[in-house]
Amino acid sequence: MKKVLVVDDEWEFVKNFTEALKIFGYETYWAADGEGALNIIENKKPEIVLCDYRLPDMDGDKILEKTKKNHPEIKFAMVTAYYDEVVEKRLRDLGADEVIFKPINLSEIEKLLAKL
Amino acid sequence: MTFLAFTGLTIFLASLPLGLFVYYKNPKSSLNKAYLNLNLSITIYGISYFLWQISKNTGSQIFWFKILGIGIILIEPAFLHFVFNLTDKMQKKKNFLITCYGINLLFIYFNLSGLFYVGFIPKHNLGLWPIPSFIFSIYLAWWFFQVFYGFAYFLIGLKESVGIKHNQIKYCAIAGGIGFVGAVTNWPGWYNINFPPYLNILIALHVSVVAYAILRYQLMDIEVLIKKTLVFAGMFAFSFGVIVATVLITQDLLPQYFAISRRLSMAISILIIIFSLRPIENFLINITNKYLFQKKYEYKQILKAFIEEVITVLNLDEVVNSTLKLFDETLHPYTAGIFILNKAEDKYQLYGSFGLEEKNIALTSESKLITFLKNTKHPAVIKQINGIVGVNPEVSSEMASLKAVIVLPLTLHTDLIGFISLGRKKSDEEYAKDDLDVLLDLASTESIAIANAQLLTEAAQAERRAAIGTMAAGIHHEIGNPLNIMATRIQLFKLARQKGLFQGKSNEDILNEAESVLDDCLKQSGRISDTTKKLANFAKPSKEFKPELITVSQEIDEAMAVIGYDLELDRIKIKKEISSDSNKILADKHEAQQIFFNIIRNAAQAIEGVGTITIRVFTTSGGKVCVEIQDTGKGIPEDKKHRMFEPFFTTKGTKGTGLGLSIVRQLMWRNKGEISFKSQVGIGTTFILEFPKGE
Repeated sequence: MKKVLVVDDEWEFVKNFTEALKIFGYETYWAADGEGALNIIENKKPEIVLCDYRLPDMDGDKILEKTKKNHPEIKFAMVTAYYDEVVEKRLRDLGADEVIFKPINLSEIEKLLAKL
Repeated sequence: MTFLAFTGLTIFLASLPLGLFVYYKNPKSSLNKAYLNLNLSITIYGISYFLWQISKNTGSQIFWFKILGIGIILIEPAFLHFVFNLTDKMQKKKNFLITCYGINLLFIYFNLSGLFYVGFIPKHNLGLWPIPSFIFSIYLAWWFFQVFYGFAYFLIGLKESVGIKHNQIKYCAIAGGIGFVGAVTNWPGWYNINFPPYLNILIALHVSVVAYAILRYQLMDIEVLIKKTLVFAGMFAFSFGVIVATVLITQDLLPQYFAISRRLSMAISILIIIFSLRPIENFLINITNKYLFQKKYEYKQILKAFIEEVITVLNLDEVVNSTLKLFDETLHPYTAGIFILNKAEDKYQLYGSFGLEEKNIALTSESKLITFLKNTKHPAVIKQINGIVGVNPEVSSEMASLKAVIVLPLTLHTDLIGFISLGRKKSDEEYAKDDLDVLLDLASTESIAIANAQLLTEAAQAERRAAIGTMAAGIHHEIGNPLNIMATRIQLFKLARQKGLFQGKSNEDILNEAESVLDDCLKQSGRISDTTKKLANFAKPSKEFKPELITVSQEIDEAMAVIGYDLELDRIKIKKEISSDSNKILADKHEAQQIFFNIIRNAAQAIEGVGTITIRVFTTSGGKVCVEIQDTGKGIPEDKKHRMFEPFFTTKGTKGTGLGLSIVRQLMWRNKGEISFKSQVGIGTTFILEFPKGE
């Protein structure tokens, strides 16, 4: 079973989202901030990271950079509420495998995760 | 002493000192020499006129009359001499003038030898008068010829001259006219026509005006002298009038009602004079100041005071109108206009004016005047002013179409944002160098005031846009996240059903699950609705300035609500220390929010990484409501502190417009508040806002 790390500070969202991911057949981990996320990445080595861009202690791009630097094999999808082509391009340049815009569509997520 | 004797004395007393004064002011000037020459002839005329009138025996009367004749004869060539000098015709007219002097010398001989006169007869109250000979009548024709010749050259000179010269000639011609009218009134007496030559006194006025015309543009102290002369003459005339009137009424007209002696009536008039002299003197000083001298220094004070004030005006119409009003009241120009650049059309449009009939005037950037102002950054003047060269004919014709003799550029940094046009002064005085100095100060302040006023309108909108921009990311977060939660929740419910996860569950359980989905959605929609309300409130268009009683701590909360998204996400801790006493102030609610929003946002932007903003509201020992906004940011370097409130100054590089603090300070002033700050590099900055208590 693939391990997916969800990084987001909105518990209401994470609660539902991780439940959906379980239905899709993934093992899920959750981090509410950047530090927690980097910890889990080091210790649990998830195959996929779904990371919100805005976090209480740092921006998602820092986590992306570190993850891709230390573990280039980990697939990284950035989730952001701020739709902007420039932002998307920048994130892809930084190494994001996918950029997902909120509000998310669960069936698209299912396809996307299968692809990663 | 008769009135005629008095006129002679006055002429003498005016012409000699003025002639010497003007001469010693500039002994090298041939014009000043010519004026002295003319005045010396008039002096001979005046003193001998006086002595002729007061002499008791026929011998001395005839003696002084012949000296008077020399004065009369000498005045004419001296007058021509002066006119040719004034109109720069000396070279051309040298031989003519020498001939004139020669002919007049001959007439002086005829005068002294008695060939002018057939005899002398006494006239009642007017002294001993001559009976002219035929030779004298020839001289009289020559006299008139010389007068008209002189005036002809005044006219030629007027036509050929501009500026100061033109005005000098104009005044001298007017003065000449006055003087000769006075002189002419003497002639009928010679031919036994009863016409008392009282207007002889006008010759004294003539010399004063000419002295004024020669010196007014160069010397200030001549004004003092003339003022004193006029005031003295006025007081003298008044005293003289009081004595004459009193004596006339008590002794001649109504002696039956006033059975008093001549001596007593003299005493009464002296009493009247003593009690009324001071008010009369003040009155005369006031009217000479008001109508002749315009109180130069005072108007400069007014301009300087205005310069300090206009910078605090925030409304463009008010800036322009108050400036025009100031010009109208101090400089008294015929016209004045303020032109402001319309960036969209690249034209300088007339924004406000007086004296200009056409209101819809616009100059393009390619026009000669604009090119001149842009290239030189100097004022454009039609005629040369001490050290400032007049503009070329192309520029001056454009200025003429604006009825302007001076155009002051309004520049900000290197941009020409507009210009001020000023027409001729109603007093006909030229603009002097010191006028221009004050006007240039005014123009540079006016530029800032106009730019500020313009930008305040733009900036109020831009600030709001920037604030909305600041919020944009936050709004995505604040609206996007709840939407995301709702969407995920609903999708999860559907997913569960699709995957058959509800199989085997009771309807009641499924309904409960559905209700929980709906509750979650309701909760999130409330979150979104809160956000949109705050946004709508902040984006409201600005209204008129309307002070009301507001509570500072509440307005800070309102401002914080808008800025909150940014701060929270930037990981800045907010500490509030609100003292329990009232913090109500009288201020415009919207502007107060703008002030707090700007200062708090600045504080947030000053903090790199993690930090704290402390907001304190308390009452000072002086009874003011004080708001302190302290950040733990990078602080302001010493060399930048004094520039913080300058418009367009920014420490934020390309991010800031630099308008924030200068506008905040203006908003503070408008709401009767004061703003200051203290800062230490590496420790942070504290802004201190003080308002008068509102209750």
